[in-house]
Amino acid sequence: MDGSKRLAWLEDYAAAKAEQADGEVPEMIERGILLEGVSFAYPGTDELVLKEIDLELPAGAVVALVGENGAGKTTLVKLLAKMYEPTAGRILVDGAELGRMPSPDWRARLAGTFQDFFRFEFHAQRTVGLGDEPRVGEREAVETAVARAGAEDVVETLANGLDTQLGPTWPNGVEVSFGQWQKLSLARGFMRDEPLLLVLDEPTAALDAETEHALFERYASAAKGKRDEEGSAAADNGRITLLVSHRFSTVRMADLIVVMDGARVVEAGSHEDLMAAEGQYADLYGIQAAAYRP
Amino acid sequence: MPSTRRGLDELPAALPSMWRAVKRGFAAEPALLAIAFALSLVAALPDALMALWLKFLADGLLDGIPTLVVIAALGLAVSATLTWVLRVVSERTQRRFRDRVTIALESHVAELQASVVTVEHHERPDYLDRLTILRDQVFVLDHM
Repeated sequence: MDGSKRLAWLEDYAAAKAEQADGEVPEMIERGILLEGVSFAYPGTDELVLKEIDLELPAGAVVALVGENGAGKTTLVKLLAKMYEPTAGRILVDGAELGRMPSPDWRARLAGTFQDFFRFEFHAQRTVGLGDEPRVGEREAVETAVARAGAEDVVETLANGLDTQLGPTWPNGVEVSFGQWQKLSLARGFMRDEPLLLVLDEPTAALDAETEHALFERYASAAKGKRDEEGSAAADNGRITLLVSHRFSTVRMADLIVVMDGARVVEAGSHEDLMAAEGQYADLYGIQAAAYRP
Repeated sequence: MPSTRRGLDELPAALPSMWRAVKRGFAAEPALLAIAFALSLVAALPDALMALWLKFLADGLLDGIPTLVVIAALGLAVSATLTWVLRVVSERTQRRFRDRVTIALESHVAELQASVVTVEHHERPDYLDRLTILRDQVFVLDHM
């Protein structure tokens, strides 16, 4: 009886959440993504974890979202990925409401990786290829993704390269370290060739600041390089690269740094602008950079 | 939308939910459900006839009618055989029906979960409790 009540609840819940999307995901971003008065409280709670966020993520830019843990950075990313709908306000992509775009279509144009990742114990090819399921079997696409993530060294250590079974509990499966899983997960996040939004949400939070800085520097340079390179994918589709970190010292290369605190955006600008403003960013950057200095 | 939110948070009433589960089972395996139901009814018939055969046997012996005694003996034999046969067939049909309905319900639950485009049901503790129990015990729904 209890099981049937739970099943009926799930059916009602799924029906109530059925998407009524009548918009279309643009082929490219020409102007940017605009957040207008966005507030958000997790369902079932009253506490706002994002309060009246007004923010523009310009097309083609490398944007860094920084703030202490619990400032609302990942929640903002979840809203951008349509994992939740804003409680108030709206998100516009080139003026069109994100809420009216079909979620599967929008997510097909997202790429990147989060702090938490799943260890898919398949052959390495499949483990990485799942980042773009329709192309899971395309060796060339997987090799490109591995190169984008800088995970070639991981694949080289595997006995049969991308054809190696991962996970020691499987026949001929090999043990893979935490760092190697993390790099393979990064590669999975880079499977898509032309995402509109590339998110790196603290993919190296468990590692040191230097590694995170190197990683962000690499992707920011790649994004900027492509942006300046006429005819490149990034130049063509206006891809926005979003770097998320609780470390202030690792994102100085970004075009736009957005500082979050207490569920609000407290500062936004380039590294130089924010240092000159001598606000929260300048304070915390100074402290953290000094701490990492040998 | 506070009223909708409250509505979504609460579990539906028991009887309508059970009826929906039965309908879901019928939609998944209509023929097997009908056969399983019919067999469970028919399986009770030979047992019920036992009383009749025993009456014939008693009447035949007391009134000295050999034909009635033979009919009663044959009836008892047929009833006993049919009881065994129908029980075996009924059990196997019901087992097959339950297996198939369980697979259908498990797929249904997985599809429902995957069809929701947001992640609230993957992150909210009270929803997660509900869904974990549903996933682990979905097989009990075949008892409907």
